[in-house]
Amino acid sequence: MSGSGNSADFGCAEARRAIQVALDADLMEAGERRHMEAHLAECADCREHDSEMRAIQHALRSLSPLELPDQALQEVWVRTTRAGQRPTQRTWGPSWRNLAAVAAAALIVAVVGVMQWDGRVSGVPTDEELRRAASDARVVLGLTSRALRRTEQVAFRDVLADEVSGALRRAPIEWPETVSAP
Amino acid sequence: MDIVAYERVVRDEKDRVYSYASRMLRHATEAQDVAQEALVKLWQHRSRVEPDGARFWLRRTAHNLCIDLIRRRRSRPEDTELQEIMTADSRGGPGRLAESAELGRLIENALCKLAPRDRAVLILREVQELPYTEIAGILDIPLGTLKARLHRAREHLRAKLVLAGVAP
Repeated sequence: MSGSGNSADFGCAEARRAIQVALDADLMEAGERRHMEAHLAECADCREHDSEMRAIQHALRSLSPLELPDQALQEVWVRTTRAGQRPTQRTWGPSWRNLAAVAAAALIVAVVGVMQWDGRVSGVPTDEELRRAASDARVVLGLTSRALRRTEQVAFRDVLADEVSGALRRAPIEWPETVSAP
Repeated sequence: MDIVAYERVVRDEKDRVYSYASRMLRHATEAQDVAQEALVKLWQHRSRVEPDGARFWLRRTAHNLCIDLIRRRRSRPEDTELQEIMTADSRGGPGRLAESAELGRLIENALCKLAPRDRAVLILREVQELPYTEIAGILDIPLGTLKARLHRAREHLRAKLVLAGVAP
């Protein structure tokens, strides 16, 4: 439509500019608002345009916000405020506990073995029984000491992020490898 | 800015930054990358960013990262995954969804067909409803230029919708 408002110099172009100003929620001069309303009352095209622009603005404002996935947020924390925390802290517990369990199991085997040996003998043991018992005990104690040493190394490595394991390898804790026969 | 202030800003702004990047880039993975990068950069520059200005700093950084990425890849297929997310996500409740989901989807599609500078101004003003002065700062343009660009962007969006046979 060609401009057909109350004012000769207020046509469709002026009306559409005024519609935008209204969408911006900016202050509009009273005279301009009056001209726009008068123009919209008479111009179907501009009325439709005004209606469409308002619908588009409403639709844009109704668009839902999107949520940053939790995994992405966790990565942000890891790269920022939690950057100083070593990931090994998460795995320290289980690996250390597993090896500690092996050591404990070995100790139990040793104790049970000694108890069985105690129950089996009646009276004075023979030389052969003593040699066999001493050999079994050496095996069990050897396993136990290795498990404990390994446990200690892993615990230190996990806690101190492999900074001391090299030193431990160079200077291992000495456990008795052999046990003197009674 | 200390750690407490930083974490508060991140929690308050992460979805806004991600939403902006998603709508600018139309690619879920890249939008995540941009959001993460902006949030990490804020931490790296925390000694120079005042808590009061952190949100503005974050939005401006996210915008600049998006523009850089768009410049690096001018033609990339749209991410259908993101479109599904945008269509499925509704916080307005089922009634509002029923009323606006279809128009919302069409608006999203029309939005992504606009030039990045038109898209940016519409997202910042109409979707995120930021004040003009802040948008002018984010885009680094004068206020008058911003309003002219906003008016043109609205007209372009309407034209895209009309072209698609949609009468809002």
